[in-house]
Amino acid sequence: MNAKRAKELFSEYREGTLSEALKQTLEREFAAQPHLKAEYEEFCFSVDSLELLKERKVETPDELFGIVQDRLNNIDQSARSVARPGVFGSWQKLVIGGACAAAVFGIWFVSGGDNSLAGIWGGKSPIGVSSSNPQLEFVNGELRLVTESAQTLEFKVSSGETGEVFDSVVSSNTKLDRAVRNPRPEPLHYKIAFEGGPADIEVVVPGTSRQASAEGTGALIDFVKVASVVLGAPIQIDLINQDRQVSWSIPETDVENGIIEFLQSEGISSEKRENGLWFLSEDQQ
Amino acid sequence: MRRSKADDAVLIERAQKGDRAAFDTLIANYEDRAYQYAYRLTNNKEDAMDIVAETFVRVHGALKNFRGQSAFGTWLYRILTNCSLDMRKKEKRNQHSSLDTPVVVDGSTMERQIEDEGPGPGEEAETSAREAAIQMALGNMPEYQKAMLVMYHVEMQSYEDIAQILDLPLGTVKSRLNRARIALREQLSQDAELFQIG
Repeated sequence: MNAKRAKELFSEYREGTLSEALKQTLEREFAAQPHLKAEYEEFCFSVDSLELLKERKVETPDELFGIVQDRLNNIDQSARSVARPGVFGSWQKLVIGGACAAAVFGIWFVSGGDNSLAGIWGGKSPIGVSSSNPQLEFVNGELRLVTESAQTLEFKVSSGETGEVFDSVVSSNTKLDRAVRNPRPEPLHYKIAFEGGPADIEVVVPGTSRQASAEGTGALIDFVKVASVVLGAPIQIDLINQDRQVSWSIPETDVENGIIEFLQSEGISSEKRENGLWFLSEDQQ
Repeated sequence: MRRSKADDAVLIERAQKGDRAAFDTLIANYEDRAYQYAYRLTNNKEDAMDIVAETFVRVHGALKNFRGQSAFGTWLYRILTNCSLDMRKKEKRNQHSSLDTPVVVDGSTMERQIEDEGPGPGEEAETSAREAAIQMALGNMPEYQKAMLVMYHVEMQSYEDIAQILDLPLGTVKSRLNRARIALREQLSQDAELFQIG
């Protein structure tokens, strides 16, 4: 067996798939040609070194999802539209308005926090069932929802404004554990419904962008979106009239109190809950 | 995220009917794996993002013709590989010096020293150096060999999967992978100190 033929067998020998006869022949060559044996050992070492790449995961850039979306929209603008009517449109105006406001007032909100909101909602294996029903939690940029029911539930996540369904699943085991993540730059208003189960939940989830205008005019729901970005947290809402027009101006410092005071002036009570969410409801008094 | 064939099948069926949310979910489910693979092929963030974006555009355009004869993931890898090969061909046509292109000095190759990422503690610095050396070795290899090595050893695709992805006979995949591993050894022997070779 010459060296070239011997090298052709390296992989199979390493994987143990070589026939017994060829294996013995190759081992005789190794004994007779120490440099060939050394070369085989280097071969194995090189292959093993690729393990390092497997272990060292490369972090997917947050902006990748948006880049893919942009590319798709450019190709087929009519069929695919990132903008959901009434959501992105108004948000875009807010951002543009914010840019103008920033130019005038020099105010931008750029919160820190993690930037891990890339991704999208997806099922997770159950981690447990809460005693209260349903249970929401905001952890590591992900809104977790765990619920249980005595009956089969249909769970549906849709746009709070257009009604477009983003995700739906039937929980056959009566225990449900779902994660909702907003992969887009702008905040989104979700309606989480349980057919035949607990009351619907409406929640505004911030997107990947951390910028929002400090001043603006728009619907109350638009302000809630701004607030979710500024606070860096989802905001659960129980508001009767989300479309009423409001004008806001959030102070540069003491942002939380600024938001709370503005909401109070609009007859809305706010609560920062331990589960990482804010909760807004009409003031009962 | 590992998806079952059943999950994919539902999403694909919905996406084929024009359901944008379903296609977005497919993107979200596969973008990490796609980026990881593209990055290992290119060793460059911008190029990897470009390949992934172009891949999903092609997937979107061709999805109506996807009949599920292979797994969606296998199909995706094929398109990713083709996009990567196309990008390299384009680059060769527009030969220019990139910041990631190795610089040849007196017949030996060295990496551009534009930005020092800052070595961490000794062990981490050595691991990073080894990772960079492996990436550089891969970068110096023919595209098909590189793709095969990454698919098999980093992405954990089987010989059968690679045969499907590259549309090659199984025996050809095995023999070419063996040649690619030998070529890798030759490349890495240039960094003998890092890999204790020789």
